[in-house]
Amino acid sequence: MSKKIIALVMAMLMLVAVFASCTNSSGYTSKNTEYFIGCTGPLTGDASSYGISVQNGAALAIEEINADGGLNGVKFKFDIKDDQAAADKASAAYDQLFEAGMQISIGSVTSGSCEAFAAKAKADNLFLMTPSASADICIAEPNAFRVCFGDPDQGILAADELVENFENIGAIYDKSDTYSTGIYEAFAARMAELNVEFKTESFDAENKKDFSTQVEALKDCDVIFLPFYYTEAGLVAKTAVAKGCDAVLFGCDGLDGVADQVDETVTNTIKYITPFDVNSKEEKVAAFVNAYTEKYGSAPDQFAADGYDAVMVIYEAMKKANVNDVTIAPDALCDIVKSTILADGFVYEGVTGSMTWDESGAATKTPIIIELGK
Amino acid sequence: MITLIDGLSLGSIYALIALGYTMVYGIAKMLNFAHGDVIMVGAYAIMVTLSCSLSPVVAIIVSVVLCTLLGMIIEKLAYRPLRGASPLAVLITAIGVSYFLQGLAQIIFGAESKPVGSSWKLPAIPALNKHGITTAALVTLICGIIIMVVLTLFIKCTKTGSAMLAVSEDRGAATLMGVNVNKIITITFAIGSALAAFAGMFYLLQIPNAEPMLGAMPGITAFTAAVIGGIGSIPGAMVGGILLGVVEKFCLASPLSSYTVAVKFSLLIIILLVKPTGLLGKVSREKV
Repeated sequence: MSKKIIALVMAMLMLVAVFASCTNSSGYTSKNTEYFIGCTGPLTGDASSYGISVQNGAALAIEEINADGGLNGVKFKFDIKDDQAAADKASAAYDQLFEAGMQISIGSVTSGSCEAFAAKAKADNLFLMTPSASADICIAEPNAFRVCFGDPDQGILAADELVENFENIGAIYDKSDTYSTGIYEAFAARMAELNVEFKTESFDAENKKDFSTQVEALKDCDVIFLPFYYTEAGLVAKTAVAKGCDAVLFGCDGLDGVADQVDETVTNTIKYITPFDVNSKEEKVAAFVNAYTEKYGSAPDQFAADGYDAVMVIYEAMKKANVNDVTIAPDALCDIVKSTILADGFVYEGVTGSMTWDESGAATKTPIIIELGK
Repeated sequence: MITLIDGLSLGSIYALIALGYTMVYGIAKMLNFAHGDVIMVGAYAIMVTLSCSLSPVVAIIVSVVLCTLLGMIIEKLAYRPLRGASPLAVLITAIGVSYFLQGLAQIIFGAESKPVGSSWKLPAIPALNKHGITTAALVTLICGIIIMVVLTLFIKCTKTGSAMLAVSEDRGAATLMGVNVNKIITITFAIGSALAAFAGMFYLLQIPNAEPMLGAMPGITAFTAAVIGGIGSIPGAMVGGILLGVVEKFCLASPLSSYTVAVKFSLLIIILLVKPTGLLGKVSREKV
């Protein structure tokens, strides 16, 4: 056994040595004194709360890694460029980062940007582990991976969970939103597979305030599936109370934040699937929540946790592969990190759960189902 | 049946807003596009008062008073200097006021939708709620009808009401008969804005979230309702509002739900094609 490990390490070291020898000549990373992790995300504009959360989470991870002495004495550096959730800005930011010596990345925060980022990263064979871009297109390339669930995954999970626990199932979704339809379509397909009938109502961007018609139609259901965001879910919950409907309301990670939208008048049970539970008693998660709250003055959300995990996965993989060349080229580092992550037995225990990866780039992890107020 | 009650209650909100449009049009001969945003201000007034942990009754009074004053201030600052200017200039000013109010709300409260607060709710009536009839819908419907009846009586039976009618019939003649036109127009704005505050209150009863764009869509729909009913006609605004509310709810409950907005506005086109002055509008002959 120990022989095998030694052999593996030797092989890795040789691999590193081989690639290191060719990187010295390659331009941008040759002057690096720290490992450089890049990222783009919306730091201003409508979606800025996502980008800022990822930035905070990732920065906290870097701080912890460096406080621990970095990797073989070499510290890490993290830089996030503002892309305002726009693909063209993400592309431009990629070039800036790459020329500044970026060696590895956590891609982009939002799906549209990440698609553009991944296209650029493919050309340079630069590894990316997006914290939060959930569209499947973002991880279509072999060098692209993600931490979060994909949109369809949540629909399938929800269908399994609801069929197991409830009789009479209803669903409401937002026809005009990709996140909502993505989850809903996977949910409906899975329900058809399971051969379970359910009632569906929908709404669109023009009519997303008054839910009395939808709730009226689904009033007799035991559970209503709500694959959309927390503002609308809060309104659905209040309408359900007014209509005397006591169905369980079940949502996806978009419901993270619904606690601020409902008050004690809402008596329906609200549950949602999420990879990250801020109130978790688990030691690792509690430590992260405490450190984050101390540093930034507010509790972390799911994006902050995803950002933290994305950086930590890269660090763990590099540590396992024992990377020891600070000027390593992106291309070489990508192959090392990829083979480490895809190797049997690589499991990352993060604050958003324990995860493994396969060739598709999607993370396999167990979702947590949170009940509000519990 | 439940769809009908939901529709009637939404319709009475539209009717209240439409009354504001139609009264101002009838008397000042201008389209006050900032009217929808007065509703939004009313809604925020309720939210802020409640967050100071005052009772909902105080919140309603604050909201009505604030909106009434706001309507009078808008009239005085924005529209009075333009009296006699071309209707287009006044219309553009009204749109400007509308954007100003929306922008101001975004600066103060932020762009996101905020819940009003837990003290803002009506007691449950289990016997009705069980069948899907919400207390809010019932209260809105009943109060809406009361407000409309009171308004009609006010215009028919009081001196100010007659003066308002006179100004809308013929402004020049009314001035000659000793009616203070400026004062009447200010009163009209005050009443219209108070109605908007009530509309905002009923809106919050059904959808308990306040946001800066809250007044935009109900405002446009109510304007459509006023035109359908015949702009300038008070019973017309009520009929138009209730009609649109019922149509909207039935549409949402049918397979056509994605086309609700299209159906609402197509109704306007159809009615105007058949009756160009609206359902209850007066036919005024153009003199050649």
